[in-house]
Amino acid sequence: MDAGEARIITEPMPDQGLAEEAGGYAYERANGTIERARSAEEAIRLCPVLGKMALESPEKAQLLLDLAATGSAKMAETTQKDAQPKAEQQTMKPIAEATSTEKPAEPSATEPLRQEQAAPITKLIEEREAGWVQATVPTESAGIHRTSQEKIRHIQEEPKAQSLPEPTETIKTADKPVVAEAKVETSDIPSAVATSEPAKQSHEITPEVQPITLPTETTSHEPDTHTEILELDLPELASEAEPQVTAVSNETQETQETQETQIHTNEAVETITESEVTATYEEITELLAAVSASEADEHVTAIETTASQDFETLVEVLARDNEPLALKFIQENAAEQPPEQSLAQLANYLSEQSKLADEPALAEALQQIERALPDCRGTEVTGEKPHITPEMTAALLQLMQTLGYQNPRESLVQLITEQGIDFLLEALRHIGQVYSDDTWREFLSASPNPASDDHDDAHQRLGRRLFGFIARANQELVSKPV
Amino acid sequence: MAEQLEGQPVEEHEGEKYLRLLGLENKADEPITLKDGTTIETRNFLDVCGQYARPMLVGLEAMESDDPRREDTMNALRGMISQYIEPGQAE
Repeated sequence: MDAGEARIITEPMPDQGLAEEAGGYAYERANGTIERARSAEEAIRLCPVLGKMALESPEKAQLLLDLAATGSAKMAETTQKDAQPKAEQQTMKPIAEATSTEKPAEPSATEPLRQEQAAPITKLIEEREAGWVQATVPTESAGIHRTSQEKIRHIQEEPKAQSLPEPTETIKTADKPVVAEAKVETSDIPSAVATSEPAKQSHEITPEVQPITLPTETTSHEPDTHTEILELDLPELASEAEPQVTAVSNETQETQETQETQIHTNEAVETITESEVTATYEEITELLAAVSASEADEHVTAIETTASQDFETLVEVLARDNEPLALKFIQENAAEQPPEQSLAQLANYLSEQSKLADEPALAEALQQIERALPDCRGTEVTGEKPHITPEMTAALLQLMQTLGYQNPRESLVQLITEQGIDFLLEALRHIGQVYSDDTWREFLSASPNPASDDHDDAHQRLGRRLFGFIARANQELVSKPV
Repeated sequence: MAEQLEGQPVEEHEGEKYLRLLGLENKADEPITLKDGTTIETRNFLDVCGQYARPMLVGLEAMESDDPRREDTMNALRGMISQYIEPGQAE
């Protein structure tokens, strides 16, 4: 039941270089891979569980979060009650056996107090098991990091109700079984992004919260452009005087390199300039014109594509020989393989269900391509040949960058030069088809209209988005034996 | 969660219970075809999304009947469920 598990790591992990290279933020996927993030918001946004929840209607997301937290607490309470008889039995056993993970460790005389203390811990563990992200702003204090990290490890390693931390300082959830809060602030939104009215609502801000500005990256499924801050409200972590986040992972050097690639990619996406798009468009236009001229003149053979197979064949060959690669592997290998191979791998990647929730840049690029593609098709009626538009050029540059090509212009020109415009458009049609088949597509199409004031519709939209999100995050479970 | 439920008297199918809670009990028998080709009955929707939906549903169940947020919450959850269990939607 961990296919949808995701957790945010906002604690610096100096021993693994995370603090220096990613500002201490990372997002651990269910399969254990680490996605880097430049801010807590980005890390949260990348999460398939909470990443999109508060974008449309923060108060509704808050409501659902509260509801989920209440439900989790209730479930944890039920679990606790179930564990009590076992605990009583365990107290009769030798100490060595008493370290079983299924029980509270103390006799029933102290049970009420311990239950109170255990509830947040159990709740935390349940939340982790359930995959809810628990994230806050990291602290810069190494000491606090170390202490909290040890505590987190301790919590993870110890039985649920064993070695309970003493509640200290303000414990916000002492009388309220809420473990996570969603909050929206617009005060720190960059002016270029903040197009909506400042949010009037303030959702239970604790003093520890330090607002963090979202990256300026915009995607079509982030209509409100609000800054999201999801705050963990867990007693044992609140007692650290700094908000803390939950997870510790076994990050490897390989995953770090992968994350570096993704960071570079994400940064590169933002660096595409209009002039670069224009220059690339002109270069491609000239190239296509030259190709067209060469086709018209049988004696001119200076420009020839080297395409030896169509795109679908390439995709089928790759699919037959290899399992679909994760995007990060495509990005890692981008420098060592031709663009058409990366596109084919992307097609296979997209054929896997629901993976774009964590790849907003890729989703945006694909959407742009889909919008621009009809204008690029030639028509036999008018004699217009397949071509590239500036919009398509911009989208392709972004796609190339998302795929890990450090010089997207060069890669794009190389692709068209070697494979031809027909191959490229075929590849884009194929990718668009696969992309459209994905439930992600459906999810995007269900994106709400932020301008609507219809209260019930907002609920429905939020529900659709959230549930689509949930469904995609969990569909892998169906194919696996539970 | 499965372990948690073991040993407890099963009064009502969990999925059916929550569908009924949301007024969607008439959907219980409808098949859902997942993208991987698996077909399940709607009543078993928690097998697919229970990891995240269950806490919300449990929370809703625990909510006071006169809680002013209840109706909104039910609408939100109903929308979620309806979106998912509509034939073809999960494919």
